[in-house]
Amino acid sequence: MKDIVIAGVGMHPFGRYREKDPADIALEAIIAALEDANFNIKDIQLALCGTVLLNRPQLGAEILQYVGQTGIPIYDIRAACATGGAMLRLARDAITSGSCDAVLVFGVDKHQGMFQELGEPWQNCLGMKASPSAFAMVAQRYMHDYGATEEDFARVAVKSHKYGSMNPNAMFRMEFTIEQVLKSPYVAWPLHLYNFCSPDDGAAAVVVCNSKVAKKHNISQPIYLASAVMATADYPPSVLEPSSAYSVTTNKKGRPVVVAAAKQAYEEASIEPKDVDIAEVQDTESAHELVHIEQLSLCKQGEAYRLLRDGVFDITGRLPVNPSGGIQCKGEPPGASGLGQVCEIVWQMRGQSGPRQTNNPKVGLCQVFGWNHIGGVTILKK
Amino acid sequence: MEKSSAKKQVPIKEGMIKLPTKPGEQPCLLGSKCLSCGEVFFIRRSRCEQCQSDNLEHIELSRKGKLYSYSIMYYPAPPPYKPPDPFVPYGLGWIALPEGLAIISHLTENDPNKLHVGMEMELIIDKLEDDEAGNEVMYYKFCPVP
Repeated sequence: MKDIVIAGVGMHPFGRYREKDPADIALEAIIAALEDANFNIKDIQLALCGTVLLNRPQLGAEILQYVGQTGIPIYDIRAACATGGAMLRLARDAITSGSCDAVLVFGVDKHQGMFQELGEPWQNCLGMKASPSAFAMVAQRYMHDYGATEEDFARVAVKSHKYGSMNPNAMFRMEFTIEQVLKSPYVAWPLHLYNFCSPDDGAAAVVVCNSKVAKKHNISQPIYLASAVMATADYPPSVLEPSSAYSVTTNKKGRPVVVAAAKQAYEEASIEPKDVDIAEVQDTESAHELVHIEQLSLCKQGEAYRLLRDGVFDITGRLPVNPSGGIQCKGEPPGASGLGQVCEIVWQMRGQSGPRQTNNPKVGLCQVFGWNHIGGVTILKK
Repeated sequence: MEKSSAKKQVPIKEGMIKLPTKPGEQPCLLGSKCLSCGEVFFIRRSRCEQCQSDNLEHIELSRKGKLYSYSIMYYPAPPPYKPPDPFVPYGLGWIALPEGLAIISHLTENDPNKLHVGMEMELIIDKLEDDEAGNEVMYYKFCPVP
């Protein structure tokens, strides 16, 4: 296997920066990642810019002007909330193919408004595809199938906010009790306001390179990009998986896209799910943190909420999950959120996470899920 | 003045609803069945999602199904959805039909305590609004069978 190294990471804190231009937000994250890697833009042969909601043509090329004009290609990439994972796959392929030694990957978004309406025009007229309800119907079925309760979902939010309160890159830095979560208004039953991620602004950047270049730049604590997989659904899709579908077959059981992406990612990284020491998973709302842990085979189906009760996913537990506080606390600028997970895992693996530091993780996993069956799984190794 | 009953009814999406053409006729939802692989889809379509065949026949779907999953929206979706004033929370759910597919639908019930997985649900065709041409725009929802 050709070793690919995460040479540097950087974030612009996620939050509400309504007056700040997205190019300036992105620039801060990019410079932070280049400095962290001890790289100059002249060391980069390819750049990828992820954005989902900024309708600004050629945004990547515009931002690159401010970073430094070196003539390299840059592509704007969109894959909903899975944009970060999708870009890392492209970066990995570009380096593996030998066409470049180092790639700059960054994502930036400004996410305003409360809900996204993500269906066809007639569905949107009926209010049938507002994102909270799509995720809530998965949560309802999870309760029905496995016996989880609203209190279990509240427990996820309590855990996330405990760690989010320690994260300077998070938008919400306050702790909640289970009662406070359950008393917050319903958004989409059975999920409450404090169960959900919030739309906000931010950027994250990652410098990826081959091992030869990493050596040249004296990367002292190399973190390896062991695999990066992006997948879409193979027919039939899983019935409840959030998408704009208006009918789904029930004759055959569909495979959730995260299950497919994870299987490939474990194979390419030559590891088993049990080898994972730490994970950042897509917590669009509290229920999906549990659903995704199970889809990643990090525990058995229907077991995640019980392990949560036992503290397994705490920073002191056997498998810390979302030590950053997840997007429930950071908020979600969808172009940047996947790379934000990678920043957190890299800092954790280097031992740079301050009060929310976990116990010397050696294998880390990042997982994103995007509307219309887009799954991304990235595995990092020390 | 024309009588209001002379208004023409049109489905919110073509190929979705069979509206009654004479008194006593029941409306129903429309779909397609692939003649190559047998897969069934809601709303008429010209290509099979499973096997990509274009050999499909039009079918009428059952008026009854079972509730597979549900949620209640406590905030209005953004435009173009036009919430009632004052807003009333609304139920959404997936209905499993005997033809072997689940479809997403509005529910007439918005109390989660009165809904449960597996309960029998029945189709209702209702008017959403009048369009600019003066037609009545019709859509579907499901209600619990008493």
